[in-house]
Amino acid sequence: MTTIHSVPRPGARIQRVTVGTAKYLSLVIAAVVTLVPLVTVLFASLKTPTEYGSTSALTPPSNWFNFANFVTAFDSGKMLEGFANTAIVLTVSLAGTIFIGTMAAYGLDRFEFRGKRLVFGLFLIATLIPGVTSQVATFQVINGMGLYDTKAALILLFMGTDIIAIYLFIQFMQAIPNSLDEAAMIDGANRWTIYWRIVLPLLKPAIATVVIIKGIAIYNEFYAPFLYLPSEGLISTSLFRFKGPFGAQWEVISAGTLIVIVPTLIAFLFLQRWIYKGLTSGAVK
Amino acid sequence: MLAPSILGFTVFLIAPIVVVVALSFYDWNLLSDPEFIGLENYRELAGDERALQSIGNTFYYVLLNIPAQTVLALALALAVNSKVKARNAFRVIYVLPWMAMPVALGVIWRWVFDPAYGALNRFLEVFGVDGASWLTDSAWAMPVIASVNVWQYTGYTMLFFLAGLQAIPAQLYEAADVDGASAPYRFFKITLPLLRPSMLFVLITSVIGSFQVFDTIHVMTAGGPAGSTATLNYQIYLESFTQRNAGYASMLAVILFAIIALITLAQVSFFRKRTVYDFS
Repeated sequence: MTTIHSVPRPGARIQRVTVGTAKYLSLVIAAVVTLVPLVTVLFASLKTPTEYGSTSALTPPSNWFNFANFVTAFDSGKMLEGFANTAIVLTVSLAGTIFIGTMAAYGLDRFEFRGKRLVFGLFLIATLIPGVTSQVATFQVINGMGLYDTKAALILLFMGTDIIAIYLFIQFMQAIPNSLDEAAMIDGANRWTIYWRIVLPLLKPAIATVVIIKGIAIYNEFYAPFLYLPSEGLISTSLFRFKGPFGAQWEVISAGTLIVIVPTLIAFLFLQRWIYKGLTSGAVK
Repeated sequence: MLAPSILGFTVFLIAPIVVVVALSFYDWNLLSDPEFIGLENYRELAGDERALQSIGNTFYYVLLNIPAQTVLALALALAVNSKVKARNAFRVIYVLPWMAMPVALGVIWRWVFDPAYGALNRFLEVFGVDGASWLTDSAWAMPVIASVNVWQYTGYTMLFFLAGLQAIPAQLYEAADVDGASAPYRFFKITLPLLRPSMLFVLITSVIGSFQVFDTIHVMTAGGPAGSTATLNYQIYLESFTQRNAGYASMLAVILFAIIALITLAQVSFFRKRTVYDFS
């Protein structure tokens, strides 16, 4: 907001100071409400079982370097396996999404063909349809392909249906001048060379955004692995393995949730700029 | 070049929807052959208290969730957008919960609200207050789940309002200042009308998101107690994958889709009717 004040009204200064304080105070309160649960989890994860039982949730741990709970959580949640499986699913789905998405964007933006409006229409409708409503049938599709309980099921689901990525790519495509394609065409390049040598490199910023946002979404996804890959754990389903002996040990569970959450928080802190840009680029206009 | 994406959409989005609509007229336990029963599933819905309850739960959840989240997000966006100290730090903090895995957060919140060992009740104990059995009391369970989701998504929603606020031309506020307009006047006559595109986007996506909530409910209450937190979406999951009533679940999915479509259309037409400003 701008602050050009022509003629200060009497009392305006005092009013501005109180409004400013109230604003600041509410920002601080909101920040505390946001952080307190996460901080209590951090505290709990560093406490020994007896210490956890005898201290309040807001008491800091006596030893900040007591990582025993983290080790227990990592082992009993089979988190190494979880991280490995998530990494495989993540890498393949992202690569697939990017190739499928950029090719679709190139095709939709650069070519005129019959049924183009139909394709756009279908994409638009598909964005509005909540995935869960068709889950019964999607499950049959995966089952029919013989892919139930395989990583391939998740990979196909993640990369087959990303409309948001295609929209983002199309927006970037529109900014790449057509004359570039034409110049390459005159030099004898075919469609594939243009896509591979010109379009794909110029789409890099959009690709980075999709990698980050979709990467975090896949990492956090619970429903699909829970439903389609029951026998192998991804990192998101690993927390459910605590239900046995560690089911009631909150200090271990706290450590487990932190192990799971921290990677995305770190990714977010380093990649904020891309995330903000990618999220809101399509939303405002 | 379009082939892979069209194939993907057809196989994983369009075909399943067609199949779900068709299945809603069948009786099917996922194993034997589906049997055509016409509108029987739809008729059955009228007497199915659990399913009707879940529709009610869904609206209750949306009503608890959306207004609180939207108003808070807008307030935070306004505050962060003004020239306060450490605004970037505040923004980062508010967005953090959205980045974190919903299931993990559900686990954390289940612990916070645990009646005996939970952080909240142990905290209340200090003041001599007996906390409720938050997640096993059917009056409290849904509001608790809704507040968890508000906590998680308010910062995310704020980002869209922030982007919208930053797109409002500064001259408008300068002109209003010259005219001596009051702060509420500026908010209701400039900010709010010009945030309309962001508002429409936020409402449509967050309402659709609310109708699809699964992770938090599954982890915190699994639809209980007494079905009081089973939303329609969760009921579809239960019917299809634990009860194996695929046909009946498909009928519920058609109902859910119809509800979402109607609400989305209503929102679009409500916002379209009003004047659109274009400063580009």
